[in-house]
Amino acid sequence: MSSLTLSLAPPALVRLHDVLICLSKFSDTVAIEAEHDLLRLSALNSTKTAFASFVCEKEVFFETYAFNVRKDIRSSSGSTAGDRFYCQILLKTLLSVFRGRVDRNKDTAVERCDMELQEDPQETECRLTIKMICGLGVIKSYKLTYEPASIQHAVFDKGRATNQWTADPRFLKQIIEHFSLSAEQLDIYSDSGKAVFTSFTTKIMDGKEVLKYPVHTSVAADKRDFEEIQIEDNMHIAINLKDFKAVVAHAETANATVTARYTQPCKPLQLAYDFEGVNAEFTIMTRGEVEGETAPASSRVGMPQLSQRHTPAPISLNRMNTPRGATPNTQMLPPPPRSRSIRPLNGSSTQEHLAPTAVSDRPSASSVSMDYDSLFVPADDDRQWDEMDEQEEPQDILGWDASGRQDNSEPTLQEAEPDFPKIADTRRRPPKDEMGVPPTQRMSQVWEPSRVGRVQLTLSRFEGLVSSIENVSSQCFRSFRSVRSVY
Amino acid sequence: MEPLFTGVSNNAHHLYTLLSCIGFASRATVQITPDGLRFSAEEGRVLQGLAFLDKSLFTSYSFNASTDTNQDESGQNDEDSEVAYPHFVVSLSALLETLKIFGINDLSEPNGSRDTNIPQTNPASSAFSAPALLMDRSCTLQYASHGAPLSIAITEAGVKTTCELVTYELEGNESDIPLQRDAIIMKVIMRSAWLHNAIGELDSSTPTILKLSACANREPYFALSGAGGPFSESTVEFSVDKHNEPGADQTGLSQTHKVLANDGSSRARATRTKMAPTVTETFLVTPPSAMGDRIKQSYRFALIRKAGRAMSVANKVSIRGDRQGVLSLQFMIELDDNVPTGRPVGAGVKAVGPVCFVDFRFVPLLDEEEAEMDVEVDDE
Repeated sequence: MSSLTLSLAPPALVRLHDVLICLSKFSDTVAIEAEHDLLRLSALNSTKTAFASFVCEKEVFFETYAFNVRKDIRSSSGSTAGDRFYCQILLKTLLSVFRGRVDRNKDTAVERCDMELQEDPQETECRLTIKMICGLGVIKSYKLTYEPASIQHAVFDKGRATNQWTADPRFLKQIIEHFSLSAEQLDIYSDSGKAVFTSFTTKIMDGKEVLKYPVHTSVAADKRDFEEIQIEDNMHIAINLKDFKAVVAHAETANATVTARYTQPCKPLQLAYDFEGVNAEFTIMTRGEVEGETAPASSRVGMPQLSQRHTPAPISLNRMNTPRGATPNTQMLPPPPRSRSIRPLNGSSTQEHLAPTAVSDRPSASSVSMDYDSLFVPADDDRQWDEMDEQEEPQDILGWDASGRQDNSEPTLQEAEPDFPKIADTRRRPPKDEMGVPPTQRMSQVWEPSRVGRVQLTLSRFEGLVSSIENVSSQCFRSFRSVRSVY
Repeated sequence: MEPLFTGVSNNAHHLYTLLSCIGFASRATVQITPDGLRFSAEEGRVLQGLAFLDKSLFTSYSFNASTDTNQDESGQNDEDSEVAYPHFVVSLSALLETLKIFGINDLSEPNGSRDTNIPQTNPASSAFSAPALLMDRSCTLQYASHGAPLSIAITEAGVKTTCELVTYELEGNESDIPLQRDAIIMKVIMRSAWLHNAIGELDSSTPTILKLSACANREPYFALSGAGGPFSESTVEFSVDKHNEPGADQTGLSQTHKVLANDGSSRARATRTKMAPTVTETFLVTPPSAMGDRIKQSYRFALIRKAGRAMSVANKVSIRGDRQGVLSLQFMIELDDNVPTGRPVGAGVKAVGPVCFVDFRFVPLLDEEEAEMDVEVDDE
């Protein structure tokens, strides 16, 4: 049994609301972890490329804070591991509780907020009780359902970060304001005294149709505008612009300067700041071109094994047919050469880079796969499946075959993987380690679900992709429909 | 022939404000009485909203009941003791649309009395704001004879809009939800804003049921909770303010209440000797012995939500419950006079503007143990 009781003063309440808003930009649920001297709120996005964490210190942030664990009984719900308790709650419900707590109505403004959580194996209900004590004796109380969760943390080694800059969020916001609303990615590099922020959208082609038009906006800022900046020249590092915007927006409300730390592309980047007893850290996966990529991914043998494991699958698939037939084939393919296609500033040249082996349409495919870069899981079969669906033309499958030979020369994600955090709860480790499956691998890889099911999943993703693009031509629809009719 | 009823109002805004409170239904039953117009809207026989347009809202109000009595037999189900007054159904949504045809719409209402605690400080009282410019608008309601359409004529600066609404006969027996006035076991009067705030708070967890709990002698004295929501349940409890102990500073408390409540504050102070939530002016809970000392009733939240408009507009609300669990929310609406000078109102109206009442009645959800009691409600 564990119990958590805490109370918040009105200013902290507003802070907490801001934090929740920020977290809601990453995920639908917030993971709550209580320890003896801190409370951590964190969110991991669905593609596992961004992890946001707010650590509230007991002494500063809370009026009172008490957390007790009795270890004798295994908890029935939620989870206690060691001296921690953790659970997850839908952000939507929490936000509705904390919404509009600013002094709107002076008479019944909130005077104090008490939160209480009693985890008892005898109780079947999981409830977090929140009480808002308001003026004139009005007490508003909420009982929120929470659910057990296995909580993952992204681990980031600050000591190994070789690049670092610190800037005022208002300054960063000024930079963001120049970017197009539809831009998806943000590339950062420095060049002779300037730090250049470039927003871009990778071009997506479907045959001859352009599904997403590339947009580039570059803002060069003098390095003197940063409070501190130490970054390698001409090293491009790209992150998701939406995540960056969410961080900057919150840092601005918190009035804290943001520090970014990173080592090199395809390794995580961390944005961090402190305010009023809260320690905010955002670990975000980056993309980019790794220097010295000829070095093999020596530290990581899992992936080669993984692809070997699937090699026995028939390669002599029906090429004129469709992704269904291609399933086993793609599994042994390496991740697409993402490091190349990432180059934002010269969209046309990417194709030259990529197409030494007469693969004309591949750039579009590989750029799609970028979005699935993961903090935890290396690019897996599922994603390559997506790419297969993205382009229906059968000749593309040939192209994939060709790229298979480049296996060892593209170590990007595999290399990054050992840095990644291990899942907090070791019980989740997949049982088939001896097969060489990485511990963080998706269950889908281990279990090998039926192929038909897999195709349906990716088609629906494809459907989502198609609908999200504004100017979809009728031709695209037609080819989409033809793919659908195959199934 | 002289029309059966003619009413002229020079503030269509007031009529709109009142009628929009019961705007949850598309049709309303209208009854014309010598004292005013009674609009009633209902839903599923479990929710009823009543808006009474007092004759004092009209600058001229003529009702020729005598000419009518002979031709008014049909379609009357009013077995009340009184004379059979004209009784018909009109489209309420069309009537509301008509009343705001010149754009009196929500200019000042929604934020008017909800956010500003004192209704007198009307934000839209400057000389050139729209309400002031709408001064010379007049609105004439006319019901020529039994079965004739209800005609609404709105004149503004030489432009006259006439709208004739078809009147329908009553369907079946349109009886009110009975509130046993002699068996009221709970009466709570407080600022409507508190109730509105509380309901809005509960609404955020999308509950399906509103539970009301009241007790005279132990905590929680008065609590509203929303249950049935998917992820959470929430409660708003009106308790005694810990900072101002009721015994210690009688003066401080009653002073705050004098500010809040201009009338009826003396009675409020009298009840204050008992334990009562701070926000309430009147708090009387006298449950019958069969119920124990706590009154608990449940209502459909979706129905309560329909009174939200009235909650936002009103000044005060009187929450009453009878022995059978019928809940009555009576809202006192102080209509602010947008026309500061020279409004030739016939009836004696207060300086602040006329005070009107909108009444909502809710049939409770049956509780197992109280099932036998509530069966009677449905029979009536």
